[in-house]
Amino acid sequence: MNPLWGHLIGIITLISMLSFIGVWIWVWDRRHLPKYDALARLPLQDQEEHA
Amino acid sequence: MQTTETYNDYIVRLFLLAAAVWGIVGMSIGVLVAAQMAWPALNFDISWLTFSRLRPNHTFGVIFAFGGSALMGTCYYVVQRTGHTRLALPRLANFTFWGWQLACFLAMATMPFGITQSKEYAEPEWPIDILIAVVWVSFGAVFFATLARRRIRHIYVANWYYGAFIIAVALLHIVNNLVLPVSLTKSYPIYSGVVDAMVQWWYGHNAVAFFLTAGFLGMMYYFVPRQAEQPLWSYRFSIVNFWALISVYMWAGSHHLIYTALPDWVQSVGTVFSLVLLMPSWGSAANGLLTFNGSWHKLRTDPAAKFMVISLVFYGASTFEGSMMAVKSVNELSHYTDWTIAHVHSGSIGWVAMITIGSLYAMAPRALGQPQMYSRNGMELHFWLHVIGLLLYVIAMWAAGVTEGVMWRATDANGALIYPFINSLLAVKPLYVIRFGGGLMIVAGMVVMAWNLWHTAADARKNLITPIPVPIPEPEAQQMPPPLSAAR
Repeated sequence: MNPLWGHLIGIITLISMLSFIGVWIWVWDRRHLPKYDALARLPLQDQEEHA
Repeated sequence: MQTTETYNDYIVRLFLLAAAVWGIVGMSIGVLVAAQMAWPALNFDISWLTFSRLRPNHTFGVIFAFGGSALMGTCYYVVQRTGHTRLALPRLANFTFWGWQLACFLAMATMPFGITQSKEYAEPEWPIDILIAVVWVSFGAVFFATLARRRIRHIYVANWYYGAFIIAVALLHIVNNLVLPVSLTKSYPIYSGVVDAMVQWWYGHNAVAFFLTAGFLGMMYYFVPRQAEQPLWSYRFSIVNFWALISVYMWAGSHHLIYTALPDWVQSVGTVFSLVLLMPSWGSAANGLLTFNGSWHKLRTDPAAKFMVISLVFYGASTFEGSMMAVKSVNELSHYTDWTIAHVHSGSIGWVAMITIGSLYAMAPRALGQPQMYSRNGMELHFWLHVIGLLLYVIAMWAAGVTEGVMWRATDANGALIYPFINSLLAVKPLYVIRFGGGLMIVAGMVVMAWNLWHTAADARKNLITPIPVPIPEPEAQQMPPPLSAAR
């Protein structure tokens, strides 16, 4: 196998890891918190409207 | 804000009815083929009643007809409620119902007569595949057009899962069904050899991933918080799990082809990605279960919540088992045995069917204009029939699988097989009888659910239901998409 494949696989692995860590950092940013708190309660509205 | 707009629950009711009917049909065929495994004479020497012809009817019936109807119905319910808007394109939505029912009927009416592509979970021939593709694209159009007219800026996480399910299933269905037709009832795939096998299992595994997991996670992320009456435990965690799940699942399909002619490194890719999959799978299971924090007392009184909690336990258990079975040394023992059957049924009867039944029990009263289901005792009876049937089924098949694996691999000092194949069949026969009993209990539970739904739907049958008005939230600053007028 051409050694270039190894480099390519390494780069893809690195990009995947960085993307994964990036998603964690992005969603844990505190500025999203009020929005997420409101969204986490969205399914409850169906019950509240019913009550 | 007052509005004249109401939710379109008519289409939801149609899919609810279809799910109840197909559930009984698909699972009854499963019980028949389970009986044939124990007592082969039950095929009566009639070609269209043989196991090989009816098994695809069972899988298609439960996955696509029952599961598909439940998924489409709940998807239409959820996208309206989480977007505070009425379903877009109502005529096309009606077409998705009738088109899907026609496709399921045609598939199940042709496969017993040998009209099949012989691809697991993709058996229907090309004219039916075209109909499925048209219906599916229409389903996507209705869903995304409804999302586009939502009145809440952020798209709720359940819709992300439903969206991924719709896009991925369209991709999988079209790519795996590329064929050259030679007549109305016969075609040949454009792929050959091991490439055909890999495309088939890329499809097959991702049918599990995106049809049987992503879609049902969409259901879970809406109906679990709703039924627990608690906010989702961690919205942030649900987003991480979403991106991890959809990035990883596509690469795990080759674990179905371990120890075959597929290149070894491709098999290893499947193993590695299957192990990585544990993180998003357990992440969602934990998120669902922890949402019940503060509401565990509901398990004493609410059968729908019980269905949901047990489904999440089985989701965690079956995904762990799946990852382990993708390890080559475990696969050596489990492959081609009934352990695979135990695994797929702990996932499908334990996770998929139970989250579906729990969600249907949660959704049905609201969609049918009632404060609650007709009979809580009926729900309770259904729960116990289902759980006991499930445990009988999977424990029997785990035992059968390990028995087969051990007997098939047993060799004497000279390397000769110790047991003739027939001995392994005789050894597992009692377990096949237990499996049949478990299946019978599960179908009985589905009949109880249908009876309960029928009575809950009394007002719906008499057209006495008042449509539910859409609550319209106050617009946010710079809302995207811009808020719709309340009058439409």
